[in-house]
Amino acid sequence: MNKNDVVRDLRKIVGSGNIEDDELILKLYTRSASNIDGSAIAVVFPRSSEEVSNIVRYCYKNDIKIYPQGSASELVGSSTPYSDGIVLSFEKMNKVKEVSILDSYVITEPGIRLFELNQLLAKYGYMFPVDPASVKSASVGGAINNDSGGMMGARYGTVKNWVLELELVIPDEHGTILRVGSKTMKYRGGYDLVRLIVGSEGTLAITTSATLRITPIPENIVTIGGFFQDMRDLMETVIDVKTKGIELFVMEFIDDKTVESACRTMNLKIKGEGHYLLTSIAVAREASERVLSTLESLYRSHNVVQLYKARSQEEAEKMGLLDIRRALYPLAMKIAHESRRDPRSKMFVEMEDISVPPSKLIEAVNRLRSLEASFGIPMVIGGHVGDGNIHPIVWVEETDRDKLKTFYEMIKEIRRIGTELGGTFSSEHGVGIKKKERLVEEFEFKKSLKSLEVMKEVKKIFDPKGILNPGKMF
Amino acid sequence: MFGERISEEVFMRELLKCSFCGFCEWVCPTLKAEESRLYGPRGRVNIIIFAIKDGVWTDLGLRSIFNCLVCGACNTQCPAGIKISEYIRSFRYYLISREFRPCFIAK
Amino acid sequence: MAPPIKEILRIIVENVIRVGMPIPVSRRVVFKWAEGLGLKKNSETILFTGTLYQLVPYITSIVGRLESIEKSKLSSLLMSFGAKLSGIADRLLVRTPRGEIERQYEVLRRIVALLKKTDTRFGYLYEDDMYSGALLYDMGLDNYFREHAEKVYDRLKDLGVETLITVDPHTTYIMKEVYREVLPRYSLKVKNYLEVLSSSDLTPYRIIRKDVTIHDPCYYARYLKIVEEPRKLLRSGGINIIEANRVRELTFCCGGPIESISPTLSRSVALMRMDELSTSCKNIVVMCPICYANLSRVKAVDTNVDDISNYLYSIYCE
Repeated sequence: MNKNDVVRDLRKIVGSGNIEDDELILKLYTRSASNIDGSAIAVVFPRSSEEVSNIVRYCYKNDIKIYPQGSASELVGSSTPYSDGIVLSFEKMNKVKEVSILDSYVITEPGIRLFELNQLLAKYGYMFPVDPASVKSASVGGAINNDSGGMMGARYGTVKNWVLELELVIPDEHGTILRVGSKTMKYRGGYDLVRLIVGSEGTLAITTSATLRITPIPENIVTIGGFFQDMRDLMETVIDVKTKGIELFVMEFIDDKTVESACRTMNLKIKGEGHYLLTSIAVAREASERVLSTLESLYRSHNVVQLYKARSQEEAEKMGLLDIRRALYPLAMKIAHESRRDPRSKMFVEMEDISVPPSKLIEAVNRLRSLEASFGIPMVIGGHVGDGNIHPIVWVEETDRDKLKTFYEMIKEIRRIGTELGGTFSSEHGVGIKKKERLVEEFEFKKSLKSLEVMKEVKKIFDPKGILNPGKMF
Repeated sequence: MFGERISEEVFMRELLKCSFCGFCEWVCPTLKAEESRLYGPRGRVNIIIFAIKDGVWTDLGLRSIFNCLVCGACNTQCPAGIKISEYIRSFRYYLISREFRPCFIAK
Repeated sequence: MAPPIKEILRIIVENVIRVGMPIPVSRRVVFKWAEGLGLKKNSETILFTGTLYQLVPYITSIVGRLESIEKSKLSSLLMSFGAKLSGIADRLLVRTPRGEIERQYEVLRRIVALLKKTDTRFGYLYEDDMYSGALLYDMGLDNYFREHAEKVYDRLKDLGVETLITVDPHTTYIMKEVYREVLPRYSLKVKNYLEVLSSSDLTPYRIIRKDVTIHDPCYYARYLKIVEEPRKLLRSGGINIIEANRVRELTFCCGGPIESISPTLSRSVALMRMDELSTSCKNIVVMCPICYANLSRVKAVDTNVDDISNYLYSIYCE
């Protein structure tokens, strides 16, 4: 179909202020944090489920591809419009429809940012406990479709544990609106379509409303942060804490290179050398001291060099115990840009996303370090060590053609570590475009390629014409 | 960053640090009002990149750049430490001094 | 449709060249407020208003008009038929309400009364009180800004001025930070009146038990770090501050800076901010004439927007 006709027809559905085909806007909405640029013929801003349904019906009839989009902060290309179609931006569907404390849920449209949702819930003493590093940017719809995790993943897991009910539009001839799940904690009505959609990267259905579980903000949180000369000591502390059966709230680490850069370039309140390990535990106020001293003795038994303790979350923030960990990605960016040679070129900074069972952490880190040595490409590592999720970060300059090939070879090897140690290459960032190949390899490694076939069949049931976010995952 | 000291290269050296993370957006008043990325800091940074690096420039870009409040809220959020609002203000000067036609620098 | 950006920029530049200010008002508008206060003209330290408080009522009139033009989609017509926005501006100036002008004059008089409570000795330049060029700078009209800044600075030097006491965030930022960057020989000391008051250990004359919420201006909070001074001054006078969502470094702009380029968007921003502020308290304290104007035009009847100097005057002056 002619592009102008499509725009004219869609304008009738959403109104003239809610569709754009300006060249600059198209460029802006076909880019994401993944560094992959796509293309599209229009950006449409629906305002209701009915509008989404009408748009989908029109696109089904006319074979137009649809790319749903939240904040485009994803890192793997899952939001990139792969080939011409329309981008469906949920920026204008951002209203919270209901908060029920008694029933412990919030019903919201998909466009609201997680951070803004939590600002609202905090007024009630509640939270939606999924906090990816991109929390200030990430939208609810995007977090659902990516099954996002984050720092509190050690305690609360990922989005999949926190979605009760979804309203969806599927790409069939009617643009059918589905309502799956229930507002209750317990629900066994047929197959669990809610959890099928969570993490499906917008390839099966378009989320137009979500009922999310919420939980009270813990009474108190104690935090301990310490620097270790030896990564092995740090990892053994992790394993020791986990074997003691202490329920973690947050457990995070960053390596010595990041620490060095942080101390050099940031205005930090804590100082130290070596690798940094941060542990937070949610406690009843009365138990604070006891838990802190248990943690302290565990840290000390593994040769911690400098140690900082905070008796509450406010104290931890005031001391800046979390800031240094939060800075992992920005610091990696900073270190990467310090090495940039051509000021007109972009740095490709890839943040990988492997997970291993915590018992394999030491081995994983050793293997990562030896990759850094053998490929000769610098790497920083850090991540959600409490749940075994490590984010190795590597970078290369876009114009450094010689190095680019080695760079991508190295990334392949990094991903392999997750799979081979009984974990995965894809923990919370997804597959998108960048990791399609690795998805096949992982199932091959598990001798379970049939699983992929099953997935592809599922995709066909939801999306018979293959018009919804095509080119992703498979 | 005042007056003639600004050049295409200065914009690129700093703005290409943008990783498109969008952390800057939640504090932006014009984005909140317009509910569109075009009217937020990430949008404006990339509009400048598109103009200079890719040679794409339209009236909507002009509108977005001149609708910025230069309130500086975004500067407090950028993980790459880009002083976003200062570059937007300088880009206004850049546009005015080139009769509103940005210069496309080919690679 | 492209907004008439170039046209608006041209008008701003023309006015600044013609009358030294972005709005074509007579010089007398600038210093009339000071008549009868007995401020000395020759002084090393002067109160430098930057003319913002005095101009705000006129700006409000013009913005109201621009907004209706933007709504009626006339702006493109204006461009194509070459109609002059400046003509409209001239006609509007006579219609600016006296009450609003007097209100802003009173703010300046109260600031003078407050400063007189301190040890600081200062004068006023009357017809030489000047506009800083803030809008030229904000809009990226750097060359015109530099010319204007040179004129302002040369005149101040001719008059023997060494220290400026400023009264609003925009003028403070421009005179303190930007002039220093733009004019290599710049040597004036710049103090904001809230800093002067805060460091003066004033004794409250009366205690006022009242709840207020503070709208931090962007330039005080983020660029100049004037955040605790106003709070301290209000609290010592018994005022209870109920902090709104987004304050201090994270303050949310009132929308004022784009009132001439996009009056409708400017209003939407003001409405959002007003909503945040008035949910926390109906008494809103502002510290900038632009914030005052932009928030006032969207306020509900039961909400009170007032300049901090009015509160401080009630606390510290008889």
